[in-house]
Amino acid sequence: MSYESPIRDQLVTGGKTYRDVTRDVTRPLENAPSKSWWIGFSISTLVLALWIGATTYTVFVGLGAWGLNKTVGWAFDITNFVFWVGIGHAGTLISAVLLLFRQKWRMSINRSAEAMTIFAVICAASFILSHMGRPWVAYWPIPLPNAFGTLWVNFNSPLVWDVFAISTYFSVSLVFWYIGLIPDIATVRDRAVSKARKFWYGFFAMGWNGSTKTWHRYEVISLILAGISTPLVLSVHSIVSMDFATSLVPGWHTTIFPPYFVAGAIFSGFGMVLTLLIIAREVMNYKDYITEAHLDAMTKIVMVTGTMVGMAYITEFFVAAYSGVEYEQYAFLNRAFGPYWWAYWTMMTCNLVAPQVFWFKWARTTPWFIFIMSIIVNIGMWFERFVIIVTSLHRDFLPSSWAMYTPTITEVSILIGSFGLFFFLYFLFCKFLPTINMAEVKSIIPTHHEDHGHNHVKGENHAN
Amino acid sequence: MEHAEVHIKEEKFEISSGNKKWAFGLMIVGFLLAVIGYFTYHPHIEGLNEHDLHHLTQKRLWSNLLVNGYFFFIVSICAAAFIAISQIANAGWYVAIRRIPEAMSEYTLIGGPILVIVSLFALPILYHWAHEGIMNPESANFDAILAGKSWYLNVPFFYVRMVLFMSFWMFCAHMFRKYSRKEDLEGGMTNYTKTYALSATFTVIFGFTFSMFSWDQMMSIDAHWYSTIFSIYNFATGWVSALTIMYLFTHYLRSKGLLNIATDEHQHDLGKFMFAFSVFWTYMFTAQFLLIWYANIPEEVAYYKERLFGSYQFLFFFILVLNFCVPFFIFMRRDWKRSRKVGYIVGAALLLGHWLDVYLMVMPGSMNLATLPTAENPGGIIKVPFQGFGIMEIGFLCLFAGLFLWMTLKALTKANLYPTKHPYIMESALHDVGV
Repeated sequence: MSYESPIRDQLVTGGKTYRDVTRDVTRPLENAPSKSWWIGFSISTLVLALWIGATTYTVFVGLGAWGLNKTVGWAFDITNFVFWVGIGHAGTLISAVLLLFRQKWRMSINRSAEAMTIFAVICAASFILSHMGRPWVAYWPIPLPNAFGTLWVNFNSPLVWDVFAISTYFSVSLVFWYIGLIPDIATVRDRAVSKARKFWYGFFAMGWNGSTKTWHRYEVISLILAGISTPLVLSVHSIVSMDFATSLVPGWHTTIFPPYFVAGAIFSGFGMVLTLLIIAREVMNYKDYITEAHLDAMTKIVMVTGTMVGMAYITEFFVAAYSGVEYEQYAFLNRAFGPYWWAYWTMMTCNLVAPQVFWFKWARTTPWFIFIMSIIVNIGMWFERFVIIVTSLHRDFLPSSWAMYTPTITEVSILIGSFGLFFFLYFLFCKFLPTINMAEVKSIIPTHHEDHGHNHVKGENHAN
Repeated sequence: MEHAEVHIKEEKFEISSGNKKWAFGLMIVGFLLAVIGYFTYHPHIEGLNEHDLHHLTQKRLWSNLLVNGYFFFIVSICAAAFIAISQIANAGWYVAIRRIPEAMSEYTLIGGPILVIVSLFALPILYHWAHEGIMNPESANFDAILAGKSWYLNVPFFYVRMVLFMSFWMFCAHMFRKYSRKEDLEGGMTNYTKTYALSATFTVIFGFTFSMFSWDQMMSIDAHWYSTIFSIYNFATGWVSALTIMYLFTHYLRSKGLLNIATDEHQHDLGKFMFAFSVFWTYMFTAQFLLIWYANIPEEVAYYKERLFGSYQFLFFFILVLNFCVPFFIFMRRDWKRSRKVGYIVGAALLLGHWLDVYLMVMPGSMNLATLPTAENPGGIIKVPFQGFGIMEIGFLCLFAGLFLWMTLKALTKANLYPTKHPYIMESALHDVGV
C-alpha cells in the first residue's frame, strides 16, 4: 500500500532511525550477556536437566514409570504433545497468514514467534518419542521400504498422518524462519569485528549482498513460503485433532474438532507469544518496537480465538444433548460434573470467560495484566487437552473398567522439564540471533521518503 | 505515481433499462417456470398412494422455496457480516467496494420476511420433527429420539429463535447502512466509531446465533442426524457466496465505467478471498465428511449414505468440482483473478455450486415421506429418490435471483457508489496488492 490513513497507529515509536534499529537489535548479540539473561538461562538449564533426568528414567524403566492404566492409556504424554504443537501455531499464523493479510504489525514480532514455533515443535516431538516407550525404534512410523520385513505403517491411521504433518510443519517453519533471518545475519556479519563472528555469521548469511536482485528473490520466496505455510497452520492441528476425532470414543468423535483445535492452537500460541514478548520488551527494552498497539492487536486475537474455542465447547455440549445419544450425553455430563469437574471448569474459566476482559482497552494495553492473562490462557489450554483426553477415556464403555488417572512425579517432571527445554533454546536464540526482523522493521519506520519503494529503502540500509 | 489520478467524488448509480429487464425478466420467467413446474410434476413412485404423491408435490414446492429463501438470506446477511468483520479488523482496502455488501444486505428487508413465511408453511411439511404426533407417546407416529429433542425442537421456540435472530441481524445491517450513508454527509469519525462498536457486538452475537439458525433451518431437516461442524460449514457457504457476488458486482460496475475507484487490485483481493474461502469451505466439508465416513457410525453415516451412494451422487461430486476445483485451479493464477471474463465464469460456478450445496442439504431429507413405523421400517420414513432437477428448480432460482438482483441494484442507487468520507477511503483508492 502506498498510502496509509493518518488514523492508524504508528508501528515503531520513539522516532527511531535505521541506525537505531540496527543498534537496538544487535546489542544483545554483540555484548556480553546481561545478568538477567544469565539468571534466566541458568534456571532454564536446571529445568532442562530435570527433563533429561525424567525422560532418561522413563526410557530405562519403561512406561510403567507413568501413571497410565489399561483404561487411560494415553494421558499426560499426549496432552503435553498437543499442548506444545498448539503453542507453535501462533508463529506460523503471524509469519504466514498475517503476511498474506498484509498486516505490518507482524514485522517486529514474527521473528521470535517463529523461533517459538520451532522450539515448541521440538518439545512436542520429544513427547512423541518418549511415549513410544522404545525411542530407539522411533523411525518405525516412517514408511520405509520392506527392509524390515513386509510390515508397512498403517496409512489409514491418523497417527501416521500426524508424523507427516508435524515433520512437514517443522521443516517448512524452519526454512521460513531461516530465510527471514538471512538479511539480518548479513547485517550482523557486516558489523562483526572478530574473525570467528565474521566466519560464522558469514557462513549462515549465504553470501547475501543486499542487492536489489537478492531483495526481490527474498520477497518472492517469502510470499511463496507464506502460501505454503498458510494451509499448514490449518492442516497440522486438524490432523492432530483427527487422532481423536476419527475414533468412536464419545467426546472425541465430533466433526467440529479440526477447526476447533486450530482455533485453540492459535489462542494458546498467542498466549505464549505474549508471555515471551512482554518479558522481551521489558528486559531488552524493545518498547518502541513492540508497542501497545501490538499488544492491543494480539490481545484482540486472543479474545476472538478464545471465544471461538468457547463456542466450540458450547456447541459440543449442545449437540451432545441434541443428539439423543446417551453415551455422548454422559461423556459431556461426566466432563462437567464428574470426578474431573475441576479440570473442566478451569478450562472454561481460563479459555472462554477470562479472555472477555479484553473487551476493555485498559486490559489490552496494560503489560503486567496481559502477562498474567497470557499464563492463564496457557493453563486453560493445557487443561483443555487434559479434559478432552482423560475425561473421555477414564469412564469407558464398561463401567467395570472405569478408572482414574493420576500423573506420577516422573510425568510431572517431564512436563515441567519441557518448559526448561523450550526456554533453554529460546535464551540461546536471544543471545545469538537478532530477535527482531531488522530489515522488515526498517521498512515500516515513519519516513519522509514515502514515494520510494520498499526495496530501495531496505537496500540502502541493510548494513548499517 | 498514482496519487495525482485519484479524485474522491460523489458518484451515483442509476438503474438502466437493461438492469430492469434482467431483474424483472428473471422474476417473471422464474415465476412462470415455477408455476409450470409445479403443475407438471406428477411423481410416480411404486408403493405410494395418491395422497402420498400429492404430498410429494407439496414437498418439492416448499423445499424449493426453502432452498432459495435460505440461500439468498444467508448470502445477504453474510454481506453484512463482511462489513462488520472488515470494520473490526481495521481493513482499509475494501472501502471502495463497501457499498456493494451494504446494498446486498438490503435484500434482507424482503428476504427475511419471505423466509419467515416460507418456514411457517414449510415446517409441518418438510420437517419430520414438526409432524403431528411425533413427540406424543400416545400417537402412532411417536419417535422416541425426536421426542428427546423436544426441549429444543418445538414449533414455538423455533419461531422465537428465528424471528429474534433475524430481526437483530437485520437491525444491525440497517444501522451499518445508515451510519455509512450519514458519514457521506457529515464526515468525521462519529459514524465510523459507532459502526465499530456495533460491528464487534454484531460479530459475537452473529457467531452464536447463526449457529443455531443453521441447525434450525437446515440440520433439523434430517432431524435424527447431527454434526457439530454443521453451522460453520453453513457459514462458509454463505460467506463464499457473498464474496463472489461482491466480486461480480465490482466487475460489472467497472465494466459500465462506474466505480472507477475500484481497480484490478480490489478485484485481485476479492479473488484471493474467494480462493481462500473456497479452500476454507472445502476444509469444513472435509472435517464433516471425512470424520463421519471414517468413524462409520450408522446414525451419522445415514446422512452421507443418501448423498454419496444414492441418487444424489452426481450432485455430491459436482458440488466439489464447482466449489473447490474450479476456484482452486483457476483462481490460483494472478491474471485470472483480475480478468473479467474468467472472473464471471468462476463466479457463476461458485454461486451455482453453493446454491446446489444448500439444495443438497435440504432435498434428500425434506423429500422423504413420513409414514407409520413398522417392523421393517422402524424409522417410519420412506426414502424418496432424487426427483430430478427440473423447471421448478430453475424457476424458483430465477425468481429469487431476480428479486435479489433488483433489491441490490435499487439499494445501490440510494447512496454514493462508494463512501466518500470514510477514514480509509484514500487507502482503498490507492490500494496495491504488492508482489
